[in-house]
Amino acid sequence: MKLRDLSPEARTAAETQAIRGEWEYAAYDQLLKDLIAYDAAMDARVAFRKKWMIVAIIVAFVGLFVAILVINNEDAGAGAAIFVGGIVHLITAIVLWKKARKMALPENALAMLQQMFRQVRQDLDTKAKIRVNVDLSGPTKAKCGPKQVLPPKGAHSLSQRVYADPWCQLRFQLRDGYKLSLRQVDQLTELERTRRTARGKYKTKTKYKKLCRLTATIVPPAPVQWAGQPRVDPTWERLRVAKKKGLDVAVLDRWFLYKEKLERPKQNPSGADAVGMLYRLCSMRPAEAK
Amino acid sequence: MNCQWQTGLLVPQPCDSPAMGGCSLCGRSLCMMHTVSGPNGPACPTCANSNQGYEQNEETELESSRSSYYTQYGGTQYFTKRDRQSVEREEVEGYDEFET
Repeated sequence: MKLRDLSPEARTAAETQAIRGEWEYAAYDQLLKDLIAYDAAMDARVAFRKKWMIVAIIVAFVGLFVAILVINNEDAGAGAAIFVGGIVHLITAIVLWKKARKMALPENALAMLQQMFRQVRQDLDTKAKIRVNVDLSGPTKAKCGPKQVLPPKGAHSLSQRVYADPWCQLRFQLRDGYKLSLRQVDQLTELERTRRTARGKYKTKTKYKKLCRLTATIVPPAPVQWAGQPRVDPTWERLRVAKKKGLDVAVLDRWFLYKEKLERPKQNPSGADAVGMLYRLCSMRPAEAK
Repeated sequence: MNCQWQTGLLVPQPCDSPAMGGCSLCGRSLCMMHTVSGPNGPACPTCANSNQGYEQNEETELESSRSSYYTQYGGTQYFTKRDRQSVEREEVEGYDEFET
């Protein structure tokens, strides 16, 4: 699937790596479906170009080897040609691979958005639209804070970079008038640990930690007395009730932690996690509303 | 008689469509949309999920995810042992949170 095969809305979303505006459920689901298909095609393209890069490296090495072996012969030119061809292919593959990688979307985030609404779609108010403000560009340089130098630990010097990415804001109304909102903020920390070897070389290892904070809010249509508190895990979750425009608004936060050693964590809370939080907030509604 | 199937998860409401038949396993009245055909006769999405040989459609998939969600919700399964251990480890003094 190419960019031109997408619907105009999906094309805009893929190009800007963002979904914004007010959507009806059916159109929103179709958009996510298109973006997931597009992302799968992009992932396949990235994988293909990576293979191409490896083949180009092998060809360049073979060409170099042949050119050196037969350097005094008339066929040295053939080896040099293979080498140059390999290098040209390698450069092309690297450029295209980087381009495809940049165009890929975060598949776990898209899956969460799709799963969540598929499970609650029957609860949505058909007259109200879903307000969406989703940024799919991920932790870019613009979202990165200044580099922090941490106190050294033994022979290791430590520094870290923190990316704050408030990428998801959703608002929708249920068929009984209650309004729900969901917000996700990701905080990616890259810790660099550098040490000097006995030979004087510097070796650096980077570790990655992603902390996701998912915040679900329920706003009643009129002042209500909440029926009671749902079960909340005190280590990972926090429930609070705040006053907002004369209404008691219940807010449930949940934190998710992912760690990786080699690359940035790609995991994301699932749609079921988000629905679980919304479900527990909805269980606070007074008995007559249920 | 109207369909007795409850639609929705957060705001469950009965389906208002007129019933066209019933579930041959639990007996509740069902409309065409919530009837799943299979070897033991027409069934509701819940019975279709718990019996083999029934076709899978959007309703049975939704019911399946809903029931798995209900069984996990509020119980010990919702927060795994690994979640707990991860937090307990962080509380140890001098623990390197990047150590995996």
